[in-house]
Amino acid sequence: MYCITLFGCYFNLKYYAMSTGLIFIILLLSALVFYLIVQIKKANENHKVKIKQLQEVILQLVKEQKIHSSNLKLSEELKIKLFEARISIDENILELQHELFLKVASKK
Amino acid sequence: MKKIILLFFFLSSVTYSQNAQDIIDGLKKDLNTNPDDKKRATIYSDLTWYYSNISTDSALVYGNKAIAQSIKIKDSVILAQTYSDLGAVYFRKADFESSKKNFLKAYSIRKIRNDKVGMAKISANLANIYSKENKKVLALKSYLEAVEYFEKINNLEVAALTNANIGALFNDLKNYPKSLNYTKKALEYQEKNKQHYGLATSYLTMGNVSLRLKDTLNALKYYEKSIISSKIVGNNVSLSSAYNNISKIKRDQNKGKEVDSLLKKSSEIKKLLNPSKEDTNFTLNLIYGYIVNKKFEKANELLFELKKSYKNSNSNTDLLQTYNYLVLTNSYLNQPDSVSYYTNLSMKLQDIVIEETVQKQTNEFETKYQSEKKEKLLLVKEAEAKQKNTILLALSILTILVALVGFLIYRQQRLKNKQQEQENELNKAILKIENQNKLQEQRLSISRDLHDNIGSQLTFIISSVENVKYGFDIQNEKLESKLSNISNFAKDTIVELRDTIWAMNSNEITFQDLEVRINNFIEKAKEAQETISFSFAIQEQLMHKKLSSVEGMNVYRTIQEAINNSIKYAHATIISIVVKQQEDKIFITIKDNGNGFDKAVAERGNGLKNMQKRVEEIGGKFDLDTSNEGTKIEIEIPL
Repeated sequence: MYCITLFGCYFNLKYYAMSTGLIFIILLLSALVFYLIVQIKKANENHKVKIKQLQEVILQLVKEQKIHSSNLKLSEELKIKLFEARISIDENILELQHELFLKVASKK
Repeated sequence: MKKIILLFFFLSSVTYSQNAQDIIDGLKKDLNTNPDDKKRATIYSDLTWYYSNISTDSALVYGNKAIAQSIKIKDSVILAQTYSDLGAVYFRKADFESSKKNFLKAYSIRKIRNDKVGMAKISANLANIYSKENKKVLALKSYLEAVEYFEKINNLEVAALTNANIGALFNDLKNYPKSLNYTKKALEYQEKNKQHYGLATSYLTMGNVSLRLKDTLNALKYYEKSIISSKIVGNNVSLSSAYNNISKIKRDQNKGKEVDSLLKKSSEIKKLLNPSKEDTNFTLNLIYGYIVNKKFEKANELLFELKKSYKNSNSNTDLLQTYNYLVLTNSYLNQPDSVSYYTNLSMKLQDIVIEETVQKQTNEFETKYQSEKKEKLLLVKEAEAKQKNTILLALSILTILVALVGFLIYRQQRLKNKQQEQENELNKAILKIENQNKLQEQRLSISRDLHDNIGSQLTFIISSVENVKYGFDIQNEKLESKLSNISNFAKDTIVELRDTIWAMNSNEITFQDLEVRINNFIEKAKEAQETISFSFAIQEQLMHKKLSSVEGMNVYRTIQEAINNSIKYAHATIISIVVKQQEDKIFITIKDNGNGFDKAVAERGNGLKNMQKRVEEIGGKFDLDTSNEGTKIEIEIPL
């Protein structure tokens, strides 16, 4: 179906409607592409920030862990020392009791 | 004036300063000298042009030769020029269709060669054809465009010729002031530069306009000037026209003898040119002159010749006019049979002419309608093709966009999954570390409780032993020694316990903390050995450097052990401890002036081994140097 315009040229109404529709869809899709690109960029940035925060938390926890393991090590060392001290004290007490036993036995 | 003769010109760079026939003779002489192909083509082309004013048949012969020669040597310049010259020849033969065809061929060649000057010249020639075809407005438009271009490129000679043509056209359009204006403009240049070829036609136009304005004197003056210029350049067309137009003035002045002589001259010159529509018009003028001068027999003779010519050419309209003249002349000659015969013929022919005219008009209308319909159809098809292309383009863009959207959505989803995986891994790691930390905290908490209990138990042991020692008078040396041993062990253990708890509670130990702790230890050592002089210095920049509890504790214990060794075994009187930083390392130097010790013997004990072990445990280096003059221990710890 053709119409004559004021300028005397021809154009197709069906074509006009179709091309207008296509242009509209193209514009819509272009906007969608733009929106998706922006969304991907935003998601990337948010992810980076999140990862950075999580890494900081891990670093803090690792630091704490180091302190704890350091303290535990000291505790282990102390445990050995205490064990050694207990053996020494036990030996001395045993010897002391032996001496006391000898003394009491001689008195009787 | 019965008919205004439109004067035309053909644009060429050749000057007409000498007689055309002389030039032709010269060119023919050159042709006999066997020139090369290009020169031959040029001579043929020039002969076409020069013959166009003298003999159109000869011009056509040389024109065809020039075309064949220029095609043979593939010279588009000469080819275009020859087509243009042939266009001019056909124009003179009044064969406007052939003229237009030749001009258009020349135009297309010049367009390919981008010869704008040549294109402008052809436009001007096409304007002449439009003018002849009575498309006056179109012709005027083309002339004005051409003159503007020629003035722009300062080609004043051609601009003047074009102005003369515009003047002639305005004369045709009966706009005499404008006609005079343009023709005078042309004359100004042509008179100044003695351009006789242009002057011949411009004077003729001035004469025609003057005649229109009923200025007979000036008309005669200009016609005479035109005759002089035409004779100089051998322009027979303008010459015969000038004679013919003067004869009309003389006829109006009833100067019969002069009219005859002028018409004779005009007729003789015309005969040199090929018969054309222009010529038949001229013959009709001549016949009219004879009738006015009552020379009916002579008129009849010419009319018979014309009748034959028109019958051969099937020109019914002209034949009808001839019959009408024959009716007139025969009635003057008292020939009733002939009058009746030609009247009948005239009436029959009139019917045929009317029928032909109607048929022609109907056909023209039909053709016009059909061509318009075809044009419309063509336009629609063109529009459809364009629309199809546009739709295809739009669909392609749409497909690309859809694919892009799909790809972006897929990429977004993949990215989301990947990011989620990364986050999950990190969260898992955090959870694992947190669990480990919690576990360690629990273990540390248990340890702390245990230490507290042990601390209080040890204090209880010490106080119990002290009470026993002071409460009972113990004479037995062995008993005394055992009690002292228990008390000393408990005290040492408590010191050890306190130091460890200090380190564990501090989490991180600065060198400032370490300085306070070591100073306390030195003070206690001083109390035990007052004769010993201690010096202890930590570099200022190290004060706020932090060590882990294990590192701090190991450094503290090592220094403590070194001081103890110096006091107990080396009997030193001066002990110095220096802590400093060099580059990214910490150097601790413990020096005394004691009598040293045997390294082999010392290594059997635990003291030195422990010191070395502690330093190596925190990634450092341990170095011992001992002699009779003193002992030097150097510890190197990375920062």
